[in-house]
Amino acid sequence: MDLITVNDVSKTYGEKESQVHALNRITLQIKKNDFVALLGPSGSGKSTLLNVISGLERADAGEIYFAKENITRYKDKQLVQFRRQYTGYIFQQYHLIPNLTVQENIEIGKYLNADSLDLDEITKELNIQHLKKRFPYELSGGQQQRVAIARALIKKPEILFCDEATGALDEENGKQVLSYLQHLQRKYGLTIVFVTHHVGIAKMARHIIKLNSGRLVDQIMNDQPLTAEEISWG
Amino acid sequence: MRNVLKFVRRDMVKNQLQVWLVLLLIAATSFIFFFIKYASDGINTEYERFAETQQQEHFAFRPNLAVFINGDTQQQIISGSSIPSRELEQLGFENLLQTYNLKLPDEEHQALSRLSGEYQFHYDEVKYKEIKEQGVLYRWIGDTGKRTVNQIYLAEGRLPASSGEIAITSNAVGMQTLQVGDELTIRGHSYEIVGRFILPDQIRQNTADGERPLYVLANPEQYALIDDIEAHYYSGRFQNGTYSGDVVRKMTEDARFAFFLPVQDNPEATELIKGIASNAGMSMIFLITLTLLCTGVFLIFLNRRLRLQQKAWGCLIAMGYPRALLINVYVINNVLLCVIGVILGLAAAYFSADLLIQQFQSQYVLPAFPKELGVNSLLMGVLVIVICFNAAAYWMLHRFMNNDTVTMLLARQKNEHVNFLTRWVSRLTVGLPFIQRVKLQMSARSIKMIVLLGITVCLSSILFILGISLNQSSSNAVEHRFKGVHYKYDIQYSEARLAQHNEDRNDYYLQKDKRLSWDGSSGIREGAKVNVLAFDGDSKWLTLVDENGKEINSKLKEGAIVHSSKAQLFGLQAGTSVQVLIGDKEVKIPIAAFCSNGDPAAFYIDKAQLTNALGISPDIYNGTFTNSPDPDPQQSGRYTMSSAESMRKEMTEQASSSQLSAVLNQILGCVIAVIMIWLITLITVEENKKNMAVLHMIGYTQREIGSMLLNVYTVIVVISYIVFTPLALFFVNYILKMVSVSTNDFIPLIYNVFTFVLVLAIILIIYYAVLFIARRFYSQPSYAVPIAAPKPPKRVDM
Repeated sequence: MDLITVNDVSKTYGEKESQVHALNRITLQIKKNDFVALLGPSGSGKSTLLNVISGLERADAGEIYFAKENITRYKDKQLVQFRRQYTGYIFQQYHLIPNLTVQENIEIGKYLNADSLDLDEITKELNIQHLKKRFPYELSGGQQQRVAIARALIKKPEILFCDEATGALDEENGKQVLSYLQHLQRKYGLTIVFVTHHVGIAKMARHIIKLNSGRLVDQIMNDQPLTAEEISWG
Repeated sequence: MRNVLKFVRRDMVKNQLQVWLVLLLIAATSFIFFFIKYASDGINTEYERFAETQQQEHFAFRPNLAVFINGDTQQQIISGSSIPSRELEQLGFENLLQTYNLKLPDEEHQALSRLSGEYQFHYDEVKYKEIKEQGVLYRWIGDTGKRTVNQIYLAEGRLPASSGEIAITSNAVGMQTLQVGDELTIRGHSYEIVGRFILPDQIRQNTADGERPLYVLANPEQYALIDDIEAHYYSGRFQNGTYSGDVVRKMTEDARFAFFLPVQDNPEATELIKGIASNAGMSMIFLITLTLLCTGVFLIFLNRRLRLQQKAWGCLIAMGYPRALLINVYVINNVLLCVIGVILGLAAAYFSADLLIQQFQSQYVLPAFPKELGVNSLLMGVLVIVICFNAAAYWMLHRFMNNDTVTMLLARQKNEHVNFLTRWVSRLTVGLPFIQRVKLQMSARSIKMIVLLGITVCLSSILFILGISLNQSSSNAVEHRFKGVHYKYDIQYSEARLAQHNEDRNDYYLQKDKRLSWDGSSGIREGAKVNVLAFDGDSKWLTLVDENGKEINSKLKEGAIVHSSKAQLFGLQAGTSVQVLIGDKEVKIPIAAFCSNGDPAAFYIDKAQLTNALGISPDIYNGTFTNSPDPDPQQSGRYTMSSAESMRKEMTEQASSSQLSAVLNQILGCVIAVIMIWLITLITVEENKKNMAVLHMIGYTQREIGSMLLNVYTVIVVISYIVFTPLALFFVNYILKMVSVSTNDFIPLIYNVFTFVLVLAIILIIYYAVLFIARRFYSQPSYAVPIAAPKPPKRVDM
């Protein structure tokens, strides 16, 4: 079952000579419970595509359906509601709120859904239950990213968007974070859209979408996705 | 160096909103200071030049013959004069001299010779006659062109040559504007105005009314025809031409002067210059306050910019650029920014100062009103701003650049630490609803924001409480002043006389501006000026009441009754023994009670006790409370009659002026609060851009984000208000006390619970209003940019 359908979507920045086609007539489908990698070099349009799919930016042309709902027609308030209800976000630089404790940072996500996951359960799943009273500056990068994952997951999103989520981590921590993501995807039946320029990480995905210069250049259905431990980091 | 300069300048271009704001604040600070200084310096210089050229008096005086002439000689003089002996004995020697009925030119000449020799001054006798007609006081003088002190300056036309001609000092007389060539009718005689002149001891508003005389200069023949009592005093000037404060102080305390008024205490001579001095003082306060405010804002911006560029600075230091060079580059740019701001302000002030000068020109008398900026003022304005800004910038840069290079290079990986307050708040707020906890945590994030907000709340509270207090006290002052007043008219005579008992009136004896002294709690002799009002305590005319409204007239038999303001201002208590100096006699009396009504400057005393202590007739009087405009058969000569109704009206008008001042204070309080809260909001937005973007992406609404990250300072505002209110009360009380002492009036600090609630409500309304507008202003920030992932490499192989 398709969770997201992208139909002929284009997005352009700038004007005249400085005009850049960030997305050029992209069409694709993302299935529910899938692990999707958006792979491409810098300027390929993968982050723009992520922003457009997640309702952060509007496409100039084309349509995007989320579970048969055309979100391109949504007004701003509806888009906020859409993100609140269905999406989670993980960033490369974690972006925790520095003067809130780990628990409070996770509660930022929990507040958005009355029927959220249990905070103790999710912190236990991510092995950060002992860090709840600490502030972000007292954590390592890997720990911070796990807190960010907890913040994103606790509100029970349908789809999790990860923008270079392991880009700031070393191999050990990076693999650990990916391992948690893989595990949680299975446990909670999540759909994950993972933006990366790292080919090894992309091999963890079942569906790999390759972009270049704003165009969709290839889509690979990977029948044998690797585990986090199996991927090569170099 | 060039590359570093480029780097700094590009950073300034990148943060141009901050740079423009700082430039605007510097220009505004410079503008306000120079705007006032262009007018005040020019007028000050012109005043000094005019005072010197026209030989302005250093003091006005009359010798006290009662001191110069001993008791026996006094008796001989009295018995040898043509004045009825009973009157001579009962009025007292000093009162007789004051009435001008007893003239002793030889004795006066001898006294003048002794005083002028001792204190090294020369003097002129000033003779004048006064006529009060239709609410305007005309003071005639007839000495055209023979003065050595206070030389007449002809501003327009010529001096009067014939009997039908006059020259005048003002061009606004009552409601009428007079020009040279117009006719002026006084007591039925028409005079042609042939000139307008300026007296060096009359540098004041160019209007004349019942209080401020219109000087009318006539030729000696015309002057001789004016049928009124001639009064006289002396204008003195030190022989070396220099005003000596020390000598003047000594002369003020010398009992051989019956009347001594230094030019600096003469409101007629100093009205303009004191107005100018007050403006100049205000310009200094503005300069210092605004410079400190701007510097604070500038430091906050600079600190933020430096923190964002830590890596770049660390890189430059690692490459071998000396730290001093980097600091200098920044300081050069700041100096440049300051200089541009100051020049902009200076230029704007130069062109707009004409407005202020015209304002002075339309109100005051002086030959010219030049626009001028003194070197001292120029240096002061430029240096205070430039030094303050750059010293602060240097301090911050020095502190920043001396950080460890590696720490600077790794700055982006370093997380923001939390302060102790955040930890405390985090622990203390467990159990509160989540949003409330987040708000409190966010408010504790920055100590400097809390300090800035605290200062804002404190300043605004002072101005609002001052405004509300002024507003209430000015209304209350009128009410209290006339509480217990049962007479319709108050008549004051220029000379003392003897009463014949009359049921239709109540006579009193008034001695204005007498020095009251007592031993203070610290053992130091303290003092204040009072108007000694001696009356018989008949409550039919004036009922004095205490704080509880209880009549206390009977207490006059036990001692003096003083206005409760004196107790509050000087810490006087009932039973304190005080002394009043009247003429050459010192009257000692205890304070019997404090009244809450009547004249705040009055020192009420039993008439019989005072006359007994002074050795004069108990029937003496120079004022009358009455219900009839002419109850006194002796009501001739010079007197002023004020109805209680007109006095109340006048006070109410003055109250309106105080209320205007109150409104101005409140407006200033609002402006400060709005500017500061706007800045705090701007900085909060700047510091929270990333957090706002994150919350927006994960599904928070604008309203929720605003509530969690921007509208976080309500608690800080309330706590600051509670903490700073006692301080604000202390300051307001101090300010009002100073004003009360200097004006010899009483402006009490009036407040109640409602005042505090109202001030807090005003501050909170301003806070929410500014926040509401600021949120709309910053409602559409770019969400993607602050949290975008760094760009990965170009190539991808699979």
